[in-house]
Amino acid sequence: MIVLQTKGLKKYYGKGESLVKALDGVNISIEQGTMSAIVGTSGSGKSTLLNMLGGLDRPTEGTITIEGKDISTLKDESLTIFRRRKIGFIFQAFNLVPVLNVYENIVLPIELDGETVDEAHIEEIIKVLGLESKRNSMPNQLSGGQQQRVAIARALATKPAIVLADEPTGNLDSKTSQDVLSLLKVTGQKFNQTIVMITHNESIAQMADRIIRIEDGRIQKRGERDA
Amino acid sequence: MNVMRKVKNKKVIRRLSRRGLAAGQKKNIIAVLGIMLTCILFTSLFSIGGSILKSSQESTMRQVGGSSMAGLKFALPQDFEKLSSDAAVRAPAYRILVGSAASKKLNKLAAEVNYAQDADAKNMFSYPEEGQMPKKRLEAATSTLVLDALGIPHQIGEKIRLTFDSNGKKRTETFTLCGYWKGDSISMAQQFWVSKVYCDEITSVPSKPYKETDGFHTAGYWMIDFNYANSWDIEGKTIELLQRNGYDPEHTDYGINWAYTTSDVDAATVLLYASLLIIVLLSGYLIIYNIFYINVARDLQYYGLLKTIGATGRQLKRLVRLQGYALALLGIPAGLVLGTMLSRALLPIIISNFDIGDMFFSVHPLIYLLSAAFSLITVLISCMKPCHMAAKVSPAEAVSYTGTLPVKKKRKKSRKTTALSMAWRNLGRNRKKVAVVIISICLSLLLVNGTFAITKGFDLDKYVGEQMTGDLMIGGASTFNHAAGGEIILDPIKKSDRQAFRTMDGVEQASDVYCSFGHIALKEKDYDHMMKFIADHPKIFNDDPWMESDFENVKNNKFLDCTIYGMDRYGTDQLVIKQGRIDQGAFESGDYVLLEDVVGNNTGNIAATDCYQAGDTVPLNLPDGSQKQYKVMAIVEIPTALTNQMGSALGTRAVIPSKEYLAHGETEGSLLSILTLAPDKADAVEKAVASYTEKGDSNLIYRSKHHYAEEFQGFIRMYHIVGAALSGILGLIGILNFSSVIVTGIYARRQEFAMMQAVGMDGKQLKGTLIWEGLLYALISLIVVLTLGSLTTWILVQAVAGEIWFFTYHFSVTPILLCAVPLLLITWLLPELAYRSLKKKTIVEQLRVSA
Repeated sequence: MIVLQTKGLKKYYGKGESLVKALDGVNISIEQGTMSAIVGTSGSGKSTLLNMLGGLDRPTEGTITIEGKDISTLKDESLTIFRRRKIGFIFQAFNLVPVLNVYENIVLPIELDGETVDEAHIEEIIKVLGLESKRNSMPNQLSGGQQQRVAIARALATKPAIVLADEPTGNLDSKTSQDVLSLLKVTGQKFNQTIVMITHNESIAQMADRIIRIEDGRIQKRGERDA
Repeated sequence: MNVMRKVKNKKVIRRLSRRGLAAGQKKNIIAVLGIMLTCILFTSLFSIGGSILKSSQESTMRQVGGSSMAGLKFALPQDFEKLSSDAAVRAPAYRILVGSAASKKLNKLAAEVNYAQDADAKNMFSYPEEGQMPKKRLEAATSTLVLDALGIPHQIGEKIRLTFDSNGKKRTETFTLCGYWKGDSISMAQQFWVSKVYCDEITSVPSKPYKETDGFHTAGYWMIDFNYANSWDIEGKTIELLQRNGYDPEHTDYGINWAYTTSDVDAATVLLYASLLIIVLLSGYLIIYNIFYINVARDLQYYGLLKTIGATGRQLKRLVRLQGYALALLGIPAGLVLGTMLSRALLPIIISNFDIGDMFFSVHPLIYLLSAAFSLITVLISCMKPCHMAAKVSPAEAVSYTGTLPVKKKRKKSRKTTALSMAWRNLGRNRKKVAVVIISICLSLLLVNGTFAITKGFDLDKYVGEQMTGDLMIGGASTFNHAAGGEIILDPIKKSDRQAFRTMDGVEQASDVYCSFGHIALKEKDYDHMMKFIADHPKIFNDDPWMESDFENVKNNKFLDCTIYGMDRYGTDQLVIKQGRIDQGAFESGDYVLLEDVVGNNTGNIAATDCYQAGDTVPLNLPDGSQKQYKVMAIVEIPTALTNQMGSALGTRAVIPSKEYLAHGETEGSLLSILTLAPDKADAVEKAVASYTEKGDSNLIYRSKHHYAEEFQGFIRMYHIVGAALSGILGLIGILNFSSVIVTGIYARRQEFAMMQAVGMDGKQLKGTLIWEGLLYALISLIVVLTLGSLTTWILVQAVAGEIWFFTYHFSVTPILLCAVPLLLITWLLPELAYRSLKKKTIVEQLRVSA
């Protein structure tokens, strides 16, 4: 089943001489339950693509369909609500809320939505990510790897349609990177989550089921491999 | 997507808001301080205003002599029955008029002899504090003022021998004092209560309504006082009440207690109050807005993160607003308490300068409700923009936000980069923030300058000149104190009195003013002139009976009322000459007169005409009945202080030399004695005059320049203290604003500074840039205040003080220049200190800040 699909996605910045085509007609489809890596050099447009997919930014042209819903036409508030229900984010800088403890950070998106927390689900995530003993710690008491595990937990907490990870290991050393990534993949499989991750690290990309290469705002067709 | 529904997410927003506050305690202290200062200002404003209102109401009641809202005068017992049964009437009480005191010793007090119900005595602030109301036939209760005037000790059981007039009949009776209370000298009348038995004995219920009598026989009539449920529109309620009970309001003597009517609050006061409210609101807004803006701007990345995770704009708005509420919850109660304390301290100083007797500190709940509401409104208004900013944050952009908005690019010539030019450009990066700080500094400076301009403009000579001249001025009670009522006496000072004053040790000069009523016989041309004047002013010369008598004198008897003054050189020197000149030698010959313009005056509706010119000859009818032709030497204006302080409906005033006056005078008594004193003996003379005028049955009162100067100093002191307090708080707000901008500005740019140092800017250059930034705030503020501010001061000061008659505007920038010193010092020192704390970290540490 296709969970995410873009058609003719374009994002232009500036005008005339200084026109920058960050994305220039991107068509991708992503299957439910897979882990994809978007790879590209600095300035290739991969971050822009991720922002579009996550509804953080609006495309100049084209559509983004998540679970059959075109998010490019949603109004700001509806988009935010859609985002907190359907999309989980993992950032390079972890971006935990510094004033909340680990557990509170994880359930924050659920609480923002006014939902009751599915305790069993959260407990399972915490267990899988090995955060049991850190439940009440504050973010500044955690190591980088631990913080990123909390971020993964937060992204999974709402049972989103899709998890977007922006250089999830960019701030971690290589050993920790491997651990975190393995966990991401394992949890993805366990909870049958679709994961889209961007990275410029080839070896990390290799862990994905599928690699999407982007260059100058366009998808490079080669290098695709089957799951 | 699911249908939008009301979600239960309040708890998490509240938690985020609370934790966020706890995390940023230092910056919150500034915010709470700002809210507190604003609330202090509002509380003081409302508290002092409310207290002045209450004090003036109380003092007006005392002056009127009653706290009842309305009353029916000269009524009959059946009127009391009728009104008491009306549902709208609350607490009706009555007193029965018996007469008025006629003892000579009481002629400075208007003492009434009446019977009153206990409730009515209480209403009239005339209920015994010691003893009780009279019950037995010859018992009486009265005020200490009456007892003092009669020389009777404050002791129950004392005998009081009193002569009084009842319906034109003098009676003398010996009463036994059964109760007394502390008399209030501002009250128009003092009460002497007698028993009901005695009242019934000498009065009888009048046979016809008061309106149908000649008006001179009041004994036996009832004065009825009562209240309503509230004090709203008392006049309207009273008219309705009268109509409902079959009275014709037009022909019924009813009274409204003017202590309850607020219409006597004049436009200038309202304007002053409104502008103070706006200044407080504005300055409160400036600081709270500024702090909130900085806080939100600094946390914008954080709000962006929350938005990425799924917080909606509305939730973020709520988050910021909740923080505002929480800070207000701390700041407002503290402000209410401190504001109350401040106004408690300021009130006596302010009150002592109004014509208000006693001070009443009002703790009306409305004061605190309004102060809290206004403070909260200020917080909410200040939150609006920052809330909006947090709500509108774009999650994608928030990641790269650095706290400064891009400047509109203008092609600029490359110039040498100096600390000053860098500083100037840095200010240009956020003009709004700069404007906020400068406005708040300017407001404070404006207030200092305004206060100074007002107090500097108060003119002691103008102030005293209206009341008196010389160092001591002695005159009759009826001249200085119209409220005392009674007969108007134009010759209260006897020759022996004058002699006594003149020979007191320390009196350097004594001069006298004589006064009596006379008139000018109108010549044909002057008659025509006057008739035309009357015809030209129908508004003044209407059919009011008291106007009619004066202008019938002109029309039918062809003579013009003229008050004649006898003055010596000291007096004539103070006249304001409008036409001609005074030749003292010729004037002394007694052939000349100084005249004022003819004035028509109908309760404040005034017009003047130049019926006479210097050189004219006027036939003046003198006090002794003779008529003499005088030549008009000059047209003058007599200062109010040198007159009998009365106006006539239509007439003029003439001045002739004292010698000439006495030659044609009826008596030797004079109106005023004016003493010039040796400075070192002034106190002694004042004491001597005081004991002279207070002894026995003397009808004389004195005014002292020393006393007015003190009153005047107190008045200035009030403006100084209030102005200093207000501008001090505003100044503090300005400085707080400034420091929060400077410190957060430096904090937010740590990385940028590190980068600049990395590329070769040395510490001295960086420090120079920062200090210049600070100084520029001060310099721009000063320039704005000196230019635009001077104009604003002029407008504001005219609006506030222009109405005060002893005020003259003086332009001055001295106070601003004086304030400039500490201002420049602070704006120089603060960046210096901030830089020092910055320097403690290495460049590498600073570069890492955002990592």
